[in-house]
Amino acid sequence: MEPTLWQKSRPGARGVFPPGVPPEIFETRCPEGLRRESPLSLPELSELDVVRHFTRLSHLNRGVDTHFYPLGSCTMKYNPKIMDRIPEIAGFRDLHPRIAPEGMQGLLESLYTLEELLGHLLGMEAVTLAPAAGAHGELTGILIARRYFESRGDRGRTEILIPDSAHGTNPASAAMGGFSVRVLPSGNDGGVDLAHLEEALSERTALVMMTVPSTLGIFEKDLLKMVAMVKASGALLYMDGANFNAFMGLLRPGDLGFDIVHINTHKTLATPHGGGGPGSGPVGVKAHLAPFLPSPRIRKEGERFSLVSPKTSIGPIRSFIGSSLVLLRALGYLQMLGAEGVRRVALYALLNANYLRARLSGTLPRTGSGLCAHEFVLSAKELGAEGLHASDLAKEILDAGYYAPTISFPLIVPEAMMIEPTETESKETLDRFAEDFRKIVERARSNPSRVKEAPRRTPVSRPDEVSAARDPVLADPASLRAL
Amino acid sequence: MADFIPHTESETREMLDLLGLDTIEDLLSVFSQSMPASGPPDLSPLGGGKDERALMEWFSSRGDRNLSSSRAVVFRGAGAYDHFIPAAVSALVGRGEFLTSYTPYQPEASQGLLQAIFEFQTAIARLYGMDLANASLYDGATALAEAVLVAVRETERSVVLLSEGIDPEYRSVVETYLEGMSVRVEVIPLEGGKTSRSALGKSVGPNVACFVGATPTFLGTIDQFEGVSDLLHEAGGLFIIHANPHCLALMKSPGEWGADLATGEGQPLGLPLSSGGPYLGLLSARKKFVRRIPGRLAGLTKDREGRQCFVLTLQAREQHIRREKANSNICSNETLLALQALVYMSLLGPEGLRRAAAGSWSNAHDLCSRLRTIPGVSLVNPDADFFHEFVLELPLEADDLSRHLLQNGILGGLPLGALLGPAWGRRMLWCATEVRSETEIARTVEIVRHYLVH
Repeated sequence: MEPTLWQKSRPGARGVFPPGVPPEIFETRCPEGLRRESPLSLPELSELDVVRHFTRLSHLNRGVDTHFYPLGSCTMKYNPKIMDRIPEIAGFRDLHPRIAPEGMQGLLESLYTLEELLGHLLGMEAVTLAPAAGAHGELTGILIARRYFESRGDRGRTEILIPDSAHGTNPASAAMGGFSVRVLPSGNDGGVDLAHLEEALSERTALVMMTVPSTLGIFEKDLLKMVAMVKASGALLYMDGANFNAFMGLLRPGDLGFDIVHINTHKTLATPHGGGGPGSGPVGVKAHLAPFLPSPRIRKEGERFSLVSPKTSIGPIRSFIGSSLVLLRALGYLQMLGAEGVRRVALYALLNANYLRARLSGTLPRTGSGLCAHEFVLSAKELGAEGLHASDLAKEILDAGYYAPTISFPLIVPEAMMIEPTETESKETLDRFAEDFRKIVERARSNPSRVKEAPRRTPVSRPDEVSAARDPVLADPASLRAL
Repeated sequence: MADFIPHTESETREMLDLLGLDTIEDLLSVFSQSMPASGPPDLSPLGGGKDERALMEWFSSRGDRNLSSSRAVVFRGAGAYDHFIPAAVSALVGRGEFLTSYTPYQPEASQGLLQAIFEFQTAIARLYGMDLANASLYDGATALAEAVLVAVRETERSVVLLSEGIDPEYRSVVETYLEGMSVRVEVIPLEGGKTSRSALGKSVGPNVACFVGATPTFLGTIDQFEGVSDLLHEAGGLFIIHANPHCLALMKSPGEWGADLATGEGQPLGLPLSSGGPYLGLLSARKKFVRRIPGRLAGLTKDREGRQCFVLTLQAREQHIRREKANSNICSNETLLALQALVYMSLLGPEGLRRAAAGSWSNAHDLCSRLRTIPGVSLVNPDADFFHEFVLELPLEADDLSRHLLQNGILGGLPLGALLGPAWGRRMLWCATEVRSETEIARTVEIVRHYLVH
């Protein structure tokens, strides 16, 4: 393992020499009461020390560039290298967000173009690019729904219905938006149960949030019936579009009857996840909700673009216009694909998922039947007899040279393993993974204690998570010793 | 047309054969029952696709229509700052192992990022003088809003006091975040660039969840908070400070002022201006709030062989475990930008950060004293110290001067009328960082002088 920056720090070592002046100038002229008194405990290293440190850390980390990453629900597809060049264009990289609109016409045109393309793909009349992530998009959509009902004087709609298979962000966003959450239990097939939905819908329902395809990787067979039921109740319909990769260019949420949808550019539109972020979570809405979109809005008049803040807006949900450098990558990706490419992406996402599903049949039971969408869920519950969990299998998968599938989600499947290969993986990779997966399941049955010891080939073995949480050490003790 | 799909035709055929399908279009049957009456969408607006060269031409020509710092010298801050960024930063952060990885849920395959997050948390905690920091939030404004939510939950109270020194757009973001809650926001005015103690004293009471101060303030002044922590704690409320991390290399830290929570915008720590994002939300806290704060946390532990290693910890606070009872809905954060800030801080070290901050302070004071010699120009809040931003009162509309400067390749101070109202129409918020040269400052002052005097 690599020592921490503070463990390597050598007092007096100098790194990069920045522009500036000796700090004594500040200290002699700024009143004492305003100056920092405690020493600044940051590491002292040479530039080469720092380069080696982070290069070594990178070697301890797996990404799509290095490994197959079948992490369900996360759409870990290849991030095209050409898109890395776009944020390096000085006109975007070094643009100050508080310049007047006449100084950012190229940015506004680009973002407006992306709004229009997403509007076409989503079947929505208006799109905001402001949300910084999917969950942020959910909160935005929920606050829009709140404003919409307020504008109609309908204050009794205080409840949001969410299937028990939903991403955890759905109920968390609903609570942040000031709504109470009513959970919709899944039916036997893992889909939303129509009878439960009917019973739950009332004049208190503001919004029904649905993930399409569901987190089981299944298109609800009664989707259009559900949409009609929700509409009839007067509630709005929200689509969690985290799984947009399954149907981009094939189906449009707006055409299905949804009022609000968010997507994740760091999933479907190939912007890199960056170890957890930055993402971006554009939200599309139907015309009746457009007045409530967050400010600022981009307006086009003739060939000129400007920023406006309509009075009806829910207000800003972040600083400035959006995660521009992420959004420009997403725009680049869509422009490169074009109409035909967009469709092929979704079709091959379906093909790869179904091929891998078929190749893995007979290993562990799948939740759901027939064709899947862009991902599928297996259950490792039966290995409980050997004392094993899905998380144990995940560690063997790491040892076999892959990242692991999503485990323990969705919550409705015991010992879930959610597998999403994405369209950018080759048949060869899927074949190899299927073969290795089969061997791992066989080993789990024949030699479970060995699986409990995995992983062996990673830089560290299993960390002690219990003691990490019992007495959390969240900052390097070496940084205090230096003081 | 490129689509990054690696399949050969024969491989596609073999795969379809295994599935018993004739063509790939047969997969559309997965949602045949959901097909709307309108049928499949018209994709013609997406065009025919572009190759790499055509793509870069499109973006470069749009980039040319922006007045970035490469074409306009930046004397504007107001939440986004033009600082020096060493070349090694992008070289390291752009490594595919970091860039193309996901949230480190499998620690054995993610030690690099987990360690970097742990080191980032450490650096931010030390810089802000706090016990701990999280792995990042979206940006400074949402970090502030989340800190306010921590105070509301912790105290179960319904009044939030925000200093007038907080960026008015941040205040709007806080109000948006509080939209669904029965919480009232009250603004505590600045007096001469510092929090009005009499107003704060009057407003602090049994319903107050927190007071949020800013330093430097949105107007650039360094605020002072002696006794504020005690005032809040005696009334059972929390004290939160929003501070610029660049200034904290030299300026008294939130921890030293006795804050319970501290937030900041991490953009000055090695992130380019980026057309406004992605930026980096910083949140740090006293240890006792560790189970209250939102966002991911990396913790130190040992593996089975007793080796030092790192994991995501205290996940029971988060949405994927707690759902509607979670501390926040945040999932994706800004990890890559946290890594970027960490690399920046490591490369500069404590002395480099102090040197850069002193350069900003020095350049801003130089610019201010030169601009003040122009007839009709005066410093607003002359009795307050400032760090690297200051407000000047002009003899004419600030928008006019701003436009004139932009025509001369200078992004001058921010005209404040649009943000703060017509009474601020002749006021401009200037900024100079460590990267501004003597020549740039001298030229800008002369252009302003010429415009105002003639």
